[in-house]
Formats: sequence, C-alpha cells, structure tokens
Amino acid sequence: MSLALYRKYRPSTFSGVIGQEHVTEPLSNALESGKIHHAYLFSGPRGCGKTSSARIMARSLNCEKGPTPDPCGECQSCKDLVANGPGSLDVIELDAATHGLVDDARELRDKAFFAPVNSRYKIYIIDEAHQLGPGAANALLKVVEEPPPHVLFIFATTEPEKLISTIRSRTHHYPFRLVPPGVLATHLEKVCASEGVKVAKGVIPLVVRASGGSVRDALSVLGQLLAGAGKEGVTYEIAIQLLGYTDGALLDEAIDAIAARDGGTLFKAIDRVIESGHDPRRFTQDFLERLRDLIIVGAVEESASQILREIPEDQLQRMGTQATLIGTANLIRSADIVAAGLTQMRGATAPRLMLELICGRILLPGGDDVSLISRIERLERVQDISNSGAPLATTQPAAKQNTVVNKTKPETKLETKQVAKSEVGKKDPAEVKEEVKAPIRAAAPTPSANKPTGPIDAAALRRFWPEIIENVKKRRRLTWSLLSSSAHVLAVDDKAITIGIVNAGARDSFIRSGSDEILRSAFIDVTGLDLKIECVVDATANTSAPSFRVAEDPSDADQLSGQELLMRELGAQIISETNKE
Amino acid sequence: MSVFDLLVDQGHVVSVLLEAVAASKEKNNSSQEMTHAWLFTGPPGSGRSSAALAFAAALVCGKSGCNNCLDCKTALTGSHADVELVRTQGLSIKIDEVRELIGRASWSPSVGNYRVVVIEDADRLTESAANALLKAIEEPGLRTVWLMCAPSATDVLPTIRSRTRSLVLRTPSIAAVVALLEKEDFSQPMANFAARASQGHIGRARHLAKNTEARSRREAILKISLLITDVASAFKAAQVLVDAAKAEAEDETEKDASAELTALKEAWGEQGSRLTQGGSKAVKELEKDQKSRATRTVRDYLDRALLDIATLYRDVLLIQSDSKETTINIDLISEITNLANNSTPQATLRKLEAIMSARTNLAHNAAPLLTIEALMVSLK
Repeated sequence: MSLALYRKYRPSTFSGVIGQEHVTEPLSNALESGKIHHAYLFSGPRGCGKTSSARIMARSLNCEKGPTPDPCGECQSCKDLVANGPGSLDVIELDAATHGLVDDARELRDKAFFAPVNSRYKIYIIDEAHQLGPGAANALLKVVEEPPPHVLFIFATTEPEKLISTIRSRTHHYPFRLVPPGVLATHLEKVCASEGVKVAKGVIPLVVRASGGSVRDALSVLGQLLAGAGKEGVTYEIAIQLLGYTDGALLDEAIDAIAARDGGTLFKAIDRVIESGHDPRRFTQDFLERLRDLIIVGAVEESASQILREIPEDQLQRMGTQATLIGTANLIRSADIVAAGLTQMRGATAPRLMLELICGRILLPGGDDVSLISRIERLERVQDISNSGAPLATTQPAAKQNTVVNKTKPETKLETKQVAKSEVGKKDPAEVKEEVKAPIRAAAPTPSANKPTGPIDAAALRRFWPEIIENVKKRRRLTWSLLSSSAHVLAVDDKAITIGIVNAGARDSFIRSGSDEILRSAFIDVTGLDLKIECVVDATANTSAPSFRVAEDPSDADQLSGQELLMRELGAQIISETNKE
Repeated sequence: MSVFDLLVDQGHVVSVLLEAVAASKEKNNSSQEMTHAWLFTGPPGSGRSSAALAFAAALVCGKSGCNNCLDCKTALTGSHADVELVRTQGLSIKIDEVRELIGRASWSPSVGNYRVVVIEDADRLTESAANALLKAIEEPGLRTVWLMCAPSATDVLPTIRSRTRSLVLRTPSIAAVVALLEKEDFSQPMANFAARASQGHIGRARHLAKNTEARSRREAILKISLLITDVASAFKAAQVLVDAAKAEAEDETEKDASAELTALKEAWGEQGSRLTQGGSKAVKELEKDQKSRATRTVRDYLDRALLDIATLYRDVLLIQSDSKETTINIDLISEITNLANNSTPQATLRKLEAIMSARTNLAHNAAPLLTIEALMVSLK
C-alpha cells in the first residue's frame, strides 16, 4: 500500500507550506532573529497545514545549524523530523483527543522538566487541542506559562474557541486560512506532474471545488482520481463520474421545469437523477449551487461572465433566460427551500422522498401556513361583504384584522411577483390580479351614486375604509394623502368601486398619479375584491362623518407635502400644471 | 463467485474496490489505487456495511475475495482475527471504546496482510470519539486499513471526511431490486410491489416480499390515513397507530429482555434470590438500558409508519403533477388517484409537511400519542 498523497506531499520546510504566508513569514522571521516564544497556538480549518507547520517549526528549532527557517536536512535531528521520518525523542506529538485527561496532563508536566535527550529544545506538539479536557488544560497552565528554558509547546486545533482562554492567552496565536483556489490549483498541478499522471483540462478546478480550499481534502480527492485514471490519464468524464457531480443537462432540465412550473417534468427529472445512480444529496447540493449562480446572473446580468468565469458563454445566456423566467424573488425563495431541505437530508431519511418534497415546496408556493392564513382571511372577507348587513357586526374587531393584514403583507408581495400559471394559482385573487395585467384607467366621472348596489354592499365596504387607507399608506404616501381626508366610498357594484373625492383638483391628481392602481391593490389586499376604481367629485362628502372619516393625526400634518399641504393649509386650488420636462 | 457479488447494483463502487484490492496484493505498488482510510456512504439499505465487509474480506483473503476460503467467511461474519468490526446497538459509540480500538488497530496483522477496522455506524461516533480517531486514521500503521460507513458524508466530522477516500453507494434501482427478488424465487408482481414499496431498500423489500404479516401491517398503516374523515376518526386512527407501535415494541423487546436478564443474573451468580456484590446495580442498569431500547423501538416504529404514510401522499402529489410512472404504493393506486382528484397539490404538500414536522417532534422526544393525534387531525 502506497502512502496517501496528503502524507506523501507533506511539506518539511516553511517554504513548502502553501497559501499561509501570513503565518509562515512571521514564523520564519522569528526563527531567523531568534525571537522565539515558548508556546504557540496554530488554528484553522481542516487540512490547511497546522500539524505540518507545527512539525516544521520543531524541525527548524532543533536543526543543529538553527534555529533557522531553512533546516539543513543533513543533521540527525533534521533527518529524524523530516515528513514521514522516524521522529525524534525530543519532539513529542500528543493527541489531545486520546490523551486529554488530567492524569495525562500531570504526567506531561512532570516529564517536561527533564532536559532534552540530544537536541536544543524539547518540543510538545499537542494536536486536536480542542479536545483537551478542562482539568487537563488547567493542569497545564503553569507549565505553559513558565516552562523550563528548553521546553516549547505548540498547540494545533480546528476549534480555537473551544480551548480555554487561559491557555490561549499564554500562547502566540497564528490563525491558518483555507487556501485560495488559484494557489491550490498550482500546487495540485505540481503534484500531478511529479506523480507523472496526465490530467485533462478542467479536472483541477473540479478538485479544487470539491475540496473547499482544504489541501488535504484536495489531495484525498486527487488520489481518488489518480486511482481511477486510465491509460490516457484522468479525463474530465472520469472526474465528473468519480466525484459524483451532477450532469449539467440534468440540472438544466430541472431548472427549466421550475421556470415552466411543470411538476410532471420536474419529478421525471428527479426520477432520472435517482435511476442514473446520482446521489440525491449531491444533486441537491449542485442544484443549490446552480440556483446561486442563477441569482447572480439575475442580479448582474451583463457582467455575469466576469464573476462566473468558469461558465461558458452559451450556458450563461441560457441561465440568463432561466433567471428572468423564474424571477429573483422566486429564485431566492427556492434557494432557501433547497438549503433548508439539504440540512433535513442528513441522517437516514429516505433521501429521494426529501428531494421530492423540496421540489413540491418550490413548485407550490402557499403550502406554508402564513400565506394560507392570508388566503382564508381574504375569502372570509369576500364572503362577509357579500352577505353584508347584520353579520358584519360580528366579524372580528378591526384591530385584529389589521394585525393579520400586516402579517400577511410580505407574503402577498412575494406571490404577486410569481408568474401565476399553476393550476391552483387561479384561485388566488392576488395572482389573478397579475394575470389581468392590462392597466385599468379610471373611467370617466359619471355620477353613479344612485346605481343600485350589487350583491356587495357599499356600507360593508366602508367599514373596511380605515384599513384600506392604512394599506394605501404603506404603498404610496401620495395616494394616502389624497385619500385620507377627502375621499370615501360612494358606491359599489359588480364591476367597479366608486370613490367620491371632495374636489376636482384632488381627483385629477389622483388619476394622474396612477393612484387608482394603488387603491385597487389595497382593496385586493384587504377585502379580496378586484374591481375597477372609479372616481367622481363629490363635494357633499361629509368627511367628518365618524363612520368613515380617517382623522389625520395632528402630528402627521407636517408629513403632508407639496400641493396637498398648500390645499390643506391655505385652501389653494390648482389652476394649471406645467410639465417639468 | 466473489464477495462483491453480494452488492446489488453498485458496479462503479465494485470496480474501484477491485482495483484497490488488486493494488493491495502487489508489493511495492506506488499507485494511488489503495489507500488506508475509506468512507462508505449511501442511503439506508444500499449495503454500505456489506460493501465495507466485502472489501475487508477481499483484503485479508489470499485470492482477492473468493467467498469460499476461511478468511472470507470469517471476515464477512466479523470473526476474522485481523478484521475488527465495530457495531453498536446503542445510540452512540463512546470514546472509551474508540481508545481501546485505536490501540488494537496499531497491531500488526496476525494471519493476513492487513489489519482492517470496519466501523459500521461512523455517524454514531460521539464527537469526542470521532476526534480521538483523527490521528489514528490519518497516519495509521503500515498495514492497517480503516473502513467507515455512514449514511452521508455530512454525518461525520469534516476532519474525518478530509482524511478518508469517499465511496458513494447508490440507491439500487427498482429494476435491480426486482431482478434480485426474482432470483430469490418471488413472483414478478410480488417482486415489483416489494421493490417499489421499499424504495430500493433491499432489506425491507425482502422482508415485505417474504412476510405476509409485514405486508398487512404496512397496508393497515396506509389505510389508517385514508380512512380519516373527521376529527373523531382522526383521534381513533392516532390511538390505533400508537397502540400498534407499542405492541410491536413489546413483542420485540420482551423476547430478548427476559433472556438477557436471566443471563445477567446468572453471570452475577444468582443463588436463590441473592446476587453477589454489585449484581443488583448491574441488573438495574440493564433494566434502564432495556427501557430506553423499548422507547427507541416505539419511536423507530412510528417513524417508519410516518414515512410510509408520507410515501402515500408523495404519490398523491406526483399524480397531481401528472407524473404517474414512479408511484411507490402501486397496490393502492385507485385510492391514491381518488385522493389526488379530490384535493389540491397545496393541501397534499401541507399534509406532507405535517408528517415531516411530526417526525421531527418525535425525534425531539415529544409524547408519541399527542404528536400523532395532532398529525392525524391535520391529515383529515
């Protein structure tokens, strides 16, 4: 059995440690100038060179020509301490995970006072130091603080925050980092060259991606690929297959199905994923990455090629279309669902079932409680209004309704952004509204106050007026200021709601500013009624009538602006308007 | 006949393992085919541990896994001198066990070429136990090989993952499971039904095909959820399900429990009613252990039942999305179609979510009856 690559290519000098210049340079300088501390702490994620650096540090310190950052490699100590060498009596490597008890620490403390056998220093490398028990760590405190002159401690750990702070404060802390992709790729190419294996273009980036920036992960994966290499070396196809990456075509198929909101195709794509032997978890992960790419493409459009450099141009174009079809909000929602589902996939649950559930969640917005409640709420209101009259007195107090509306609002916003094509979507008033995209202009001001009221009662609608005004306020302040003090519901039939506005000026600016659309959305939100808004001048409107008056909060008066303020405070009238442009 | 024939539909893994075995037999082989630490991942029922054991057998066998010699046979049952099999019935593998294991793992092989340590549930290693393994699996003795199994790579520490070479087993395809069952003399329709109902879990498929009782139990569970029409029937259904779970748990544990207890008492020298010193403590510990095992059995049973019910609604959802080919519960297809026509996909999805959250609650030790009642009411 040959050595695994990550052991074979373990560095023996600081110059061989890649991507950690922020640590190796200061350490080399310290060795050069002889400013050596008695305790070091190396921390960082898995496989970025902590243990290796600790060993190199020991080798550099104990070199006969040292301490030097470039150990000679000829003296006995250097030969002993070379990577995969026999080791030296004076460099004691301890695994805190198996020797983390207080007795082990006491023994260490007692032995530390003996002089080194044949080197300059006696060096304790305490690996996986986060597993040091509290008793053991405390027992070490004194000796770590003031060790005999010949003793040095090097702690190495992936989780420095788990190490008690009193140990940390006695050490020089050097945080290691994950290795940037460029540096890692160069290193991997060197390894491939010295292994004498040809590696196809595009394979190294795959390995870098799979490793997540950890050198050991990268070399583990590379070892796996080299093992599977044929006569032509490692081809791209072999790499994709061995690493289990999902075929790009399958991902495209799934994304296209989501864009088209086509459940049948999506579930068939999943069936294909499973039947072709892909790992459902791997697929979900790749799917999440694709969604992330789509979000980026959707956000930056033109310059996407600069950020997603590894993706070819035609693929980017396809992704651009997909991103617009799905919509940013929906993409983000989907990504959230997939990310949450990915954590649920841990453990032994049938992964296929989970994957299908994730897809169901993506396809069918409104499966969750919040949007459901909002829908029921809307339905109930419509029913209340149609029944009108007596039952209204027994409906929930306005305050409660207000809170519900507030709560459901974000949901509604989200829904309106989605393309309403799903079968069920048709039942959703908010989504129906999206389908009827044609802008509705306010009808000519015909006096309609005398028209017989339809099944929906104007009186019932007036009860909702304060709530509607509140809703409008959130949408656009201008509309709110136009409506709040000078408008009320005049009549309603099965086609339109007629609003009476006190003066012609306010009405004109109401229509001009497109406020009717705002009011219409507010009506949909609060009552579930999707009707045209018609506007008439109704000077008789007694806006101070308590039943439908919305008193302007005195403190709010200064929030009015422009013409509204002038009209209100000075009784100004609009004589003419000029176009600014 | 090779040990790898025991794996169903795992061609890609077998080929990697065969190369590794071939490389392991050559002296001075410097290629990367063979390495010292492997991580087998795959969904339940895909045969992770069988794969690891087969690999272990092939490594210690003189003929690369003939499945005939003594080495192979003992390795597969875990009694080979150089194959250390770590299995647990409890909830976790503790650090003390691991410390001992590390000591033994560094011994030289006694008869074969390799000492192989197989950890069947690496996901059940406690955090400290997993940390204790790190150094050992990074730089083990020259002829020690570590094989670990876990449902997915995220179930083990990232520091373990980065030290091992990962092998992903696939869920066996329905066709492969059907073929396997047919080879074992089950009729085609039965094989087809069992393969689908078990979703590629070979052990469950075989169990379903062989065992009429298991089949009727599964059907009863599925029917329970179909019969709920109002709140009253929902509560009744919940009661039935929980009772069934408890009965099953009692059945299963009673059998072993009394035997275990007698054995333990004997070991502590029961004479009349008196045990030697320390005996009563051991008996008490065993009783506690048995009780926690019973709780786990109830929970596992309910979890399985809920997953079965979830597959039912999953079928409904798929039919509602015009995707009929992959139906899991083909025996109930008419009921499922009926259900699909009378509800919306949204409602189905909501029911699925309710089942999943009930499973989470059960896993967090919620009262089983309450949880199931809440679930059944939301399924109505």
